[in-house]
Amino acid sequence: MVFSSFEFLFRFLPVFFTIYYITPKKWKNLVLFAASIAFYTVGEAEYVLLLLASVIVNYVLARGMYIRAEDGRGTRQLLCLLAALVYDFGILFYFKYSGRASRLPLGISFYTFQIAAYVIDVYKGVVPAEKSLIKLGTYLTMFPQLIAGPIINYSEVRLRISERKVMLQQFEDGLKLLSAGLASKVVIADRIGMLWNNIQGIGFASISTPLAWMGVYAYSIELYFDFLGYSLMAMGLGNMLGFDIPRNFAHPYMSKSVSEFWRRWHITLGRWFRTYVYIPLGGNRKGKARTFCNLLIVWALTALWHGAAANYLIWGASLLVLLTVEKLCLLRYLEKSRFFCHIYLLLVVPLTWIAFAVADVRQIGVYYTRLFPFFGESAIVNPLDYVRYLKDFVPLFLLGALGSTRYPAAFYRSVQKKWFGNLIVIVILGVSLYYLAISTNNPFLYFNF
Amino acid sequence: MRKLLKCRVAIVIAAGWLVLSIVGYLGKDSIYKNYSIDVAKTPYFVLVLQGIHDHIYPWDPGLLASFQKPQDQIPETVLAQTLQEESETTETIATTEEKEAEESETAETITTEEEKETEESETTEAPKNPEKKETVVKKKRFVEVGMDYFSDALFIGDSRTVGLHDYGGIEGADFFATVGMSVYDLWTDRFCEVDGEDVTLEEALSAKQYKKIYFQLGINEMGRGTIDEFMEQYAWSVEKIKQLQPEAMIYVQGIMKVAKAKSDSDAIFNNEGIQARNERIVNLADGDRVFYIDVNEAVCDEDGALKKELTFDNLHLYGSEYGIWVDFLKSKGIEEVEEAE
Repeated sequence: MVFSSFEFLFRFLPVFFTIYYITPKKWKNLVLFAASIAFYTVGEAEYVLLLLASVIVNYVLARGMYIRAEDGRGTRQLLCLLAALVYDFGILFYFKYSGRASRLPLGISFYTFQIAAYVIDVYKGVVPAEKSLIKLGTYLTMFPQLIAGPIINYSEVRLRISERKVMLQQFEDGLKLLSAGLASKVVIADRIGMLWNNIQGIGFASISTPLAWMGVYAYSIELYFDFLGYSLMAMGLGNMLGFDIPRNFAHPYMSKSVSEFWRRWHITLGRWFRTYVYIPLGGNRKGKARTFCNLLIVWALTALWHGAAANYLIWGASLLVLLTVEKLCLLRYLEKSRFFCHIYLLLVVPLTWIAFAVADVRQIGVYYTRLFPFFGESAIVNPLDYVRYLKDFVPLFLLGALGSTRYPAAFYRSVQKKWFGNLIVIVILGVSLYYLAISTNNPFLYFNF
Repeated sequence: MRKLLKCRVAIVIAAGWLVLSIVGYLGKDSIYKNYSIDVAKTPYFVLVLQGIHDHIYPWDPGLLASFQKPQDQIPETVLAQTLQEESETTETIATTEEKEAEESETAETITTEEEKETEESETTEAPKNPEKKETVVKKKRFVEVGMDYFSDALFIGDSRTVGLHDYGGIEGADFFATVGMSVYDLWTDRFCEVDGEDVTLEEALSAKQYKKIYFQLGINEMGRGTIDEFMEQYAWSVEKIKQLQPEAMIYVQGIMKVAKAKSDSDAIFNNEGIQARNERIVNLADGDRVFYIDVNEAVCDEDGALKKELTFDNLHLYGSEYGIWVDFLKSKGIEEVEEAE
């Protein structure tokens, strides 16, 4: 049940929120926990027990660390931590990297990181071990962010889990974020994604160079608005439930360097690696060689987190090279410049996405030879293929470009208290539902040439 | 209460949801009867949105048609309508019958003329074999041809024919093809470009005469109407092309199959459905003006599915693979030969 479906928006949510709001405060967590499990079961009945096992195992091991008030950080605590981490990452490894599992359980990469952060924080004393299994389960499985993040730290929501007021104003604000997220997904991402689909359908060997460049930017926009949309919807749902879910994106395409880009893209994942890998390894405080080594480890892990396939390793390696070059020399020029930095970023980051998007490593090479056609053409290319697509997709490119800046959000903030601001939200939601309706009516949408 | 009124967006959404759902519900058997939604998963207002996409608006007066049932009024109009419809169908049937009759007549005349010709040639030219008195009949057969064969050809089709245009490297031929084209929209959409203007197929076919017309439609029609409705419309379209293009040979092409992954997972767009349609299309071939050719001979694996290495989306050939289709078409040139009987 994806967020951008009528089934979720107009069947699951109304039923859930009705029950959730009339439930007395002390049972709200139980309702949310149960609803999250139901939500997960609809998507992945097969592995729902794996999710529950993760809650229970980590609950028990975290509780086992500091039993008495005077317990310090000793061997038993370390053993509990290691046991929890071995369990969590062992399961993740088995399903994601061993090649023995047929399918990846839904959301496992996200919830594993979230629960691992929890046990590490308990071990470090950042948060006390949660005494209530229901509360811990509510935190880990909360349906707004169960499948694709944001990865929330327990310290961020602990107080709200125990004590939260669900106010009408928050519901209203959440609804607005939910609408914005839905628009991002169905009005921009899904539609510009059709260009990328078409390019794959034609085959990379047969696309003209202008079309290849359009493809790079179409994919970059699709990926951003897809993930942004999901994250905004998660934040909105969080608000409606009475939580504050942290944001995952801060206009990353407006960054001045790749280093900055990755601080503003998938923020909660970057934060996880910084807190639990990069800084414990010494970060950048132990000399250039160690810094490079730490970066190498972080980016190898980041690439692996996305998948074990060769293309992700190429993608991670390309980012590592860029980050190293930036750290060594480029960064100081970039930060001084006003235009060059943006041109650089908007050229380099989309090019790295190719390795992210294309699973077949040979095809990545083919794509690059179409982007930079210095070696001629190996197959039949229709040199004017881009004309038609330009006509169809220019509005979406403009929308994507505008939506990547901070201006739409800034404009909205200036009018949000007025009726006009509300009208904007309603129109955006209406348009989104329209596109959602006609895409379900037309299953061929994605397959048309 | 005052707090509740501050939630303007929530209130408008709830109100819109309610009102449009009522509209969708009221119209589900009248103006929205062509749409089907799964009510367990989809709210009724989706019908309204889908209608808007097809220019059917909630203020359509037909909305309440299925609810206004005063007993003395409605039957009349309904009856009148059905009567009208019936007479229309009978008319079309009659015209097709007439057409068929006419054609068979013309076909006969052609043979008689040919016979005359042969007689004449026999009398004027010195016969080489004076003993044999056989009639010579002209027959058409498939032969290998070159690319210049297509210089007076026209291709009509959907996205697959668009791909053939973009990547087939066929020069000189015209293409009237667009994404999502179907026999149902073939004569109404203005999708043919003639001298920089978008015109209907009928206008385009009246503007220029072709010698060969390649026709491939049928996949976008799946899931829309029955196979009989499809064939009726298809046959009617072929007939119309024959009339508008009296000089042209018409290739009705079998619908290209989909790859196995698609066929196995799709209740509608699968190879059984395509096969069933192709088996009907082949019957339109008459060996004289209409010929059936099936590109599946060239692009399918032993299971009769589109080879997966030829496609990304399991439906369309890669740009680099359209040569297979072109080569196949080149093997299906038509040559007229005289055969002694």
